[in-house]
Amino acid sequence: MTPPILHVSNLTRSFGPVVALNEVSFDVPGAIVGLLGPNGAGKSTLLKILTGELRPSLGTVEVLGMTPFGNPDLYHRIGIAPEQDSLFEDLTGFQFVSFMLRMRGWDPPEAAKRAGEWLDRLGLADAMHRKTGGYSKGMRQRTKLATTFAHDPDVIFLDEPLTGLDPLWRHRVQTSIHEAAAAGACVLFSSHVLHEVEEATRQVLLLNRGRVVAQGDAREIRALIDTYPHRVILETSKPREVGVRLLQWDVVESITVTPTGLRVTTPKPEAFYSRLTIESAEGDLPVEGLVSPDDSLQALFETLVWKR
Amino acid sequence: MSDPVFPGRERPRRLDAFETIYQTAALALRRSFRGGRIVVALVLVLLPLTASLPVAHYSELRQQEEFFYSMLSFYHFGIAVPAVALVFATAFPWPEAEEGTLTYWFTSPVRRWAVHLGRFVAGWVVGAVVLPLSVVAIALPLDSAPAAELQSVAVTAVSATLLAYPAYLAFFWMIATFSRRGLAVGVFFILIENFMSIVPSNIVRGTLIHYVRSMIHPAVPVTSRMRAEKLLHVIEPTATSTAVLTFVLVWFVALVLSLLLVEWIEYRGKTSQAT
Repeated sequence: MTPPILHVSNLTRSFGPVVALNEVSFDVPGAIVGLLGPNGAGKSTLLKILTGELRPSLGTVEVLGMTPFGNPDLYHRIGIAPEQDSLFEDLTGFQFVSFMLRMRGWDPPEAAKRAGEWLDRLGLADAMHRKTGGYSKGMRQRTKLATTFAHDPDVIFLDEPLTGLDPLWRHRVQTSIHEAAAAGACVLFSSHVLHEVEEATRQVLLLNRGRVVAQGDAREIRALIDTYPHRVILETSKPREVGVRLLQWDVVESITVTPTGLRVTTPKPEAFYSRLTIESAEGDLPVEGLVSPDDSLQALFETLVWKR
Repeated sequence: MSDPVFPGRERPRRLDAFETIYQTAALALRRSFRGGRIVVALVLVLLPLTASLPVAHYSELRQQEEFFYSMLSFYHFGIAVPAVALVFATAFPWPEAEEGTLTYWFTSPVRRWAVHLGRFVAGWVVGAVVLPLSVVAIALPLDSAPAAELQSVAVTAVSATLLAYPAYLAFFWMIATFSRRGLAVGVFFILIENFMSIVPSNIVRGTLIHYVRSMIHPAVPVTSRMRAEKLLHVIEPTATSTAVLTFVLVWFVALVLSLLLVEWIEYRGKTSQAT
C-alpha cells in the first residue's frame, strides 16, 4: 500500500500559553485538498509545520515520507506560496523568480526561461521587469505563485493563494492548481472561504481553533453553510454602476455602498461567484477585488464544534 | 535522487554549498548597496568630516595630530567599526522573518548555514569597502605635514579595520542569529566596550578596541609616541601577532557558532506566534 503523501499524527503546536494546533491528525494520499477554516484557526501554522518553517511541539509530521524541518531534500520537491505578500522589493518580478529557480538548481538560461514563461502565464508579461516594490497586492500574489509553480514541484502548499486577486485571476489561478494536480502534484491550499475551496476540490479539511473539525466532501459542508447568509465585499472604483448591475441578479439579496466598494449579501454564494467570474472575464463588470468576511463560515464552524 | 516510495519528477541537482554561498552573497551584495543600511553606514563613516574640516582649517599642526589620534581611537575604532558591523549583522535573519521573506531563503533546497554564510560574506565585503572611508574622512582634510607623517598610521589603521571588522561582524552576527533584539543588544555591547576601554586597568584587555589600539601603536612615529599613547589610550600594548590572533579567534568562533545556531533556531515573525 502506498503511504500517504502528507501524514500528520497527533500534531500539537504551542506558542507559549497559546495552543495553535491541538492533536491534529490526518493523511492526504494526493490530489487537491482544501484546508478550510476561519482566520486564526491554525491553518498558517499547520502549513508552516508542513513546509518545515516550524517544528511540531508534539506529534509526527511527514511529507513524502520525510520530516520537514530543515530538510533540503524535501524542499527540492515542494513549492510554497506563503501567506505574506512580501517579496524582495528591490528586485524585479523576473529577477525574483529567476533567482528562486537558481537556488533550486536550475541553470541561468533555464531559470530565466521558466521565470519568463510563468510570469507571462500569470499576466505579468508587461510588469515583470519592474521592481516588485511597486506591485499591487494581486501582482505580488501572482509573482509568488509563479515562484511556487515554476519548478514543477511534487507537493504544493498554498496559503490563502487567492487573496487579493480579482475574479478573473482567481479563476485562472484555480486552473493552474488543477493543471498542477493533473500533472501529478499534490496540492494543499488554505482558505477561509468555502467557495474558493469548492472550485478547486471536493476534498476538504476543516480546521477551527487548532483542531480538525471535519474532513471529507465539500458538498456536505455546502449544505450546512447555505443555511447562513453569505457576505461578499467587492472592491470597485465604480460602486454605483456595479451596484445597479448586481441588483438585477436574482442571487443578490442586498447591497450596501462602502467607502471602497460594495457589501453584497447573497443566499446562493456559489451561483453569485460563478456569475461574477463570468461577467468580470467578459470585461463587463469593473470589480478590482473581493473578500468574503468569514462571519458566516465562523457560524458554520461554531455549529460543527457544537455538534461534536 | 527521488525517494523510491514517492518517485518524483526529474529535476536539476541541488546547489552545493559553495554555489549556494556564492549565489546568496552575490544577491545580498547587490541589495546591500541599495537599502537603508548602507545609508546609515555611509553617514557613520563620513561623519568625521564635519569635525576634521574645521580642525584642519582652524587648528595648529600639533592639535591636528592630536585630533587624528583621538578620532581614530575613540570614534573610528570605538564607534564606527562596531556600529557598521552591527548595522549589517542585524539585517538577517530576524528582520526577514518579520517581513515574511525568510521563507524564500529557508525553504529553498539548500542548507541554512550556507545561506547564512553567504549573507555574512556580503556584509563583510560591504563593510570592508565602506569602513576605510572613515579613516580617510578623518585624515584627508588635515594639513599635509601631519598627514604625511601620519600616513603610515593611517595605513595601519585601515589594515586594523579590515581585521577587526570581521571579528565584530561575526560577533554581532552570532547575537543576531539567536536574538531578535540583536540591534539593542549590540548597542549595549558597544557602550559597555567603550566604557571598559577607557578604564585604566587590565579590564581593557577584555575589549577588541584594546587590540586595535595595540596594532596602531607600533606605527606611530617615535617622536609622537608619548602623546599618541595617551590619546590612543594604549595601556601595555599587546603584540600585533596576539592582536591578529584574537581577531581571527573571535571571528572563527562566533561565525561557527552562528552557523550551527541557524540550523536549529525556528524563525518566526511576531505575527505568526498568535495564529
